Amino acid sequence: MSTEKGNLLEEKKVIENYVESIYIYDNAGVCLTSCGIKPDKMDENIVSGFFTAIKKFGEKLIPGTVVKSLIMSGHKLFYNNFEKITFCIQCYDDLPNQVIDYILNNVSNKFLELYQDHLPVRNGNITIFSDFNNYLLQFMEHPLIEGLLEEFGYKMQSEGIILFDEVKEKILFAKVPEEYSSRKQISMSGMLINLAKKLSLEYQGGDVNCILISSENRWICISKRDYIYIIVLFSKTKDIELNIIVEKTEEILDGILKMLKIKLLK
Amino acid sequence: MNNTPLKFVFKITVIGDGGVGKTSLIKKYTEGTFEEDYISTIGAQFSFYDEKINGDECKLYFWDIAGQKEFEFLRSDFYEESKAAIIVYSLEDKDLGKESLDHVEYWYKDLRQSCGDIPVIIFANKVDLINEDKIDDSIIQNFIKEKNIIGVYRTSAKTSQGVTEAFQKIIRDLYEKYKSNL
Repeated sequence: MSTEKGNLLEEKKVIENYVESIYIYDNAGVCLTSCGIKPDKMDENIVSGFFTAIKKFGEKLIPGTVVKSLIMSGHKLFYNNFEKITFCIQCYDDLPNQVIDYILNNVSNKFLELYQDHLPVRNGNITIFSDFNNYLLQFMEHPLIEGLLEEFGYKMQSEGIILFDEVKEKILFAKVPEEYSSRKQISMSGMLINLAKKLSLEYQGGDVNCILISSENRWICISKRDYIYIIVLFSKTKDIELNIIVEKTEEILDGILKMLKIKLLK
Repeated sequence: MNNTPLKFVFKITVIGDGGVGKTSLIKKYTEGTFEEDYISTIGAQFSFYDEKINGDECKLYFWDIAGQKEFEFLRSDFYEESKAAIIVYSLEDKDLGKESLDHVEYWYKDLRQSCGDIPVIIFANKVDLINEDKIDDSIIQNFIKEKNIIGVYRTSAKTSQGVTEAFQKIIRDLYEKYKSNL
């Protein structure tokens, strides 16, 4: 990669850099709306028709199952089915599943929120869904990693998250009360990880991936991969299991690292 | 009054015995081409045709479903939410032609079970292979009585005879039906 590490998040920040296409279609295979890159001369209804046929075939082949994804060389398609509507995302095959879930959930929640009362489409009139194309285009410009971290923080009921690039000495993302994102606090986290690493090596424990500090008022989870740190703060009043804190913090960091290494679509 | 153009997509299921010319008819209408060689459809094929009517966008989206017995297990799922259907039989004076006419009722019933009383149009295809004066329409005319059948059209995917007229009938009927119900 030619780009300097610290600039990666800046450069790769929006969803459209990772997602090739999004299709929303009903059980008839009628495409209600779509966005993204499409093959020349291929109508979106041809695409949604084939996907629908594959889904129906899968259900016949193994009754009680649903086709969730199609993996092709270098690319994959993921599906979310809600109330006779299928949301499909086409992306590069190395995009982490948690990112795909994030995108699909956001799109499907918004779509159902707006159009629930108009579904299913009984009269063939799909005019109303044209407006959603504007939403999709805007959504494709959303900052992806920030969005992921925000959702993660919300789901985990964290008090704050900081993502930090050690090489550039730059905060890539911070959603914490202002008093918790100083350079001093982040440096101390880094020093602590390095100290823990030395201690671990003394005991032949190998590299340190994560430290969880249980203090009087909060849990502080610091995780590191390559040159990226994530620091997550949790209030002690929250009823969260410790292994979940560590597992999920590492999972989100791994996901982000993986995304930063994905070759850009554009 | 709101003059924003509307956008309609109508799923049309195309059924009938294998070899009667379903795929050729659709191809003729949507692409204007005809192939002499018969290639059996595997499962289903998809094509579309769009046209503007009174400024509104109308798209016919064809599910061309394989007529062979082997694909029977998938068929009813593929019919789902169709807005209309085309049943094709062959006029050719051979077993395939006669059997395909006999099977029109089977296709109609099969469709009704899954889709209810949707509009159906019948294409009597391969009219180029016979002398039209010798066609006995009585069987098909008796069959369509008291059914929700738009009409029976003699067609030829090879010569184009009746093709545009028959497809146009569906697109206009569906447009009128759904536009007036808005």
